[in-house]
Amino acid sequence: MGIRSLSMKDKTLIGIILVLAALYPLITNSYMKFVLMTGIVNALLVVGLHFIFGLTGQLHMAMAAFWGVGSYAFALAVTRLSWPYWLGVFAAIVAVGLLGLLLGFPTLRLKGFYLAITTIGFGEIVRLILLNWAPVTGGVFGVAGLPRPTIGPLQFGKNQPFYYLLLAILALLTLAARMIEHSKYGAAFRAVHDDELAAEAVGLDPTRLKILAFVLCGVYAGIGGAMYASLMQYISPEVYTLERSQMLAMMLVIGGMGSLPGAIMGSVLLTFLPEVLRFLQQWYLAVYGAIVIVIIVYRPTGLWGIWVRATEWIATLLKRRGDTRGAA
Amino acid sequence: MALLEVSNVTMQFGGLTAIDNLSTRVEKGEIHAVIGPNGAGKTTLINVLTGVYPATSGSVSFEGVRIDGLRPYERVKLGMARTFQNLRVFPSLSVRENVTVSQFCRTTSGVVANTLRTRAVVREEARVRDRVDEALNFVGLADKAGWPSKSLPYGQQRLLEIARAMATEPKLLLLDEPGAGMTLQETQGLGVLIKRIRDRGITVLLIDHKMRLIMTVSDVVTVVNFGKKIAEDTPAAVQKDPEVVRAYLGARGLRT
Ligand SMILES: Nc1ncnc2c1ncn2[C@@H]1O[C@H](COP(=O)(O)OP(=O)(O)O)[C@@H](O)[C@H]1O
Ligand SMILES: [Mg+2]
Repeated sequence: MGIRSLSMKDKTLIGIILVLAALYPLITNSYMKFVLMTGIVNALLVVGLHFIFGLTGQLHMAMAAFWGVGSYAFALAVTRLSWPYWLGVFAAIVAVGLLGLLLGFPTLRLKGFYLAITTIGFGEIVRLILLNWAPVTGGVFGVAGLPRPTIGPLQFGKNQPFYYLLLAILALLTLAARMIEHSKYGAAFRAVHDDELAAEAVGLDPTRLKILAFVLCGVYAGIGGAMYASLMQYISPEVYTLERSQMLAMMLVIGGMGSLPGAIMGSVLLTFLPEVLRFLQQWYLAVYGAIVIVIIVYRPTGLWGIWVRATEWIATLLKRRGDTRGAA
Repeated sequence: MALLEVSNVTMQFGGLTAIDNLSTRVEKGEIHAVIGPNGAGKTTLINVLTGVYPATSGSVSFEGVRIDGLRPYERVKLGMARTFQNLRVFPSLSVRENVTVSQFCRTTSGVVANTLRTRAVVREEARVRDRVDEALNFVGLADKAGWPSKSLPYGQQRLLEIARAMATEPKLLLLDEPGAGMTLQETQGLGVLIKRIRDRGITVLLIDHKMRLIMTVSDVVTVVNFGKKIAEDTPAAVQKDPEVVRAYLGARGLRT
């Protein structure tokens, strides 16, 4: 199968991963390199959110809780229990996957804003537990001394190799998400998103599918949470807030709801936007908000939609130039 | 044993009795029509039979087994499929995808196997594709498989709903006014289509307003008015039933 037979989305996904790979050495400022790394971790989380929010259409506003439980499960496993690194990551996946089940069963008969409000409450409960269950979580002091991974002889302690490991994980998890999206499950998730009554009438069990999407989201958030903890090497409860849940949902919306390339574009660009706008000082939030609103109002298909339009435009431009040259 | 047995079903919404102690039997292999004026309770009957609403009282058996407590998707799995009076195709899915999701309940592969796209999944997908092609061919939409479903004209969206229902591999197909919004020509095609469905061994419960369609295709007609069954007979006999003429057809008599 040649590159020409790939869909526009697949080509864009490959392009994004290659651009991200090339970007790291091009950025000279070491702080910006670190921002890029957080962008990749955010992308892991947003690709997970894509299952439940993007494909299945459920307003999941407890993403920070999923991510936080992933971070803490990893951190506690490798420090308190002295588990090996990758077993700690596995613990994070299992913990957040189970959390997805726990949240899914009682809440997924709720719809729209009711679900959003319930998940917000759930997120707050988790945050308060992380904060107040000090004997286990370390309370406000968090957990320090978290390791970077090794795989056999390969060391990922330094930022550069760790960045490429993160990127490889993102590529792999994006590929998996793309496979699921193109399978019967992807179509079933979207059918539930479109019309639950009709979905039931063709034999789909919406509750089961939503729980599945929640668990998939949990698996990605588990990995994302562990990678975040490993990136920072220190975690504390104050980052896993509702504001972060909203930010992650925003990344998906700005990227272009329901599109994987959009999810990654949105994550990386929105991670950078505050840094780029920092020179505006107190005006920063206003300008940031304005940019977000303009995209949502004028381009509801988000960055993905803008990208599709741009490539079409370039294609016709190239074609026209080719035609005139042929005529000459 | 009847394929579907409806016994003393009553459905109340608050104080309103939409279905009033209704009993009927749908025999295997027949086209069984249900007619009645607007608001008579026909759509509500389909909703009760398919499990959208739990009946206030009474019972429903399918192939001799009580199905009252089952969710709609569980009834689909047993072999009941429906279409909607107010079209409900999946707008963000293509024509083909609309029909493909109906095969979900007839497949077994899990999410991990689908992520890895194992050989079993590839085989399963090939089988599903054949079934979907077949269903699209059956209603004459094969050449529009790649279209966004919402770009189909109205009458063809109705055909898409029929293809989607057929792809669940039903024993009983419940059609809720499939001819509504269709042109005269499309309605004639629909009559032929419904007979072809029956000829495949699928029993049809047909709700419609279009007299000509009902009278030409159905084996049995049940007439409902204010949620009550007022007659049940062959089309020819029902047409002559004085109570039917009075209650349903009014002074204008029967238009065919
Ligand atoms: N979900 C509902 N809630 C309340 N009343 C309903 C509901 N569905 C139907 N009805 C009422 O039940 C009666 C029968 O409606 P319906 O079954 O749609 O009739 P028909 O399909 O024969 O035109 C109507 O009076 C309608 O308003
Ligand atoms: Mg009706």
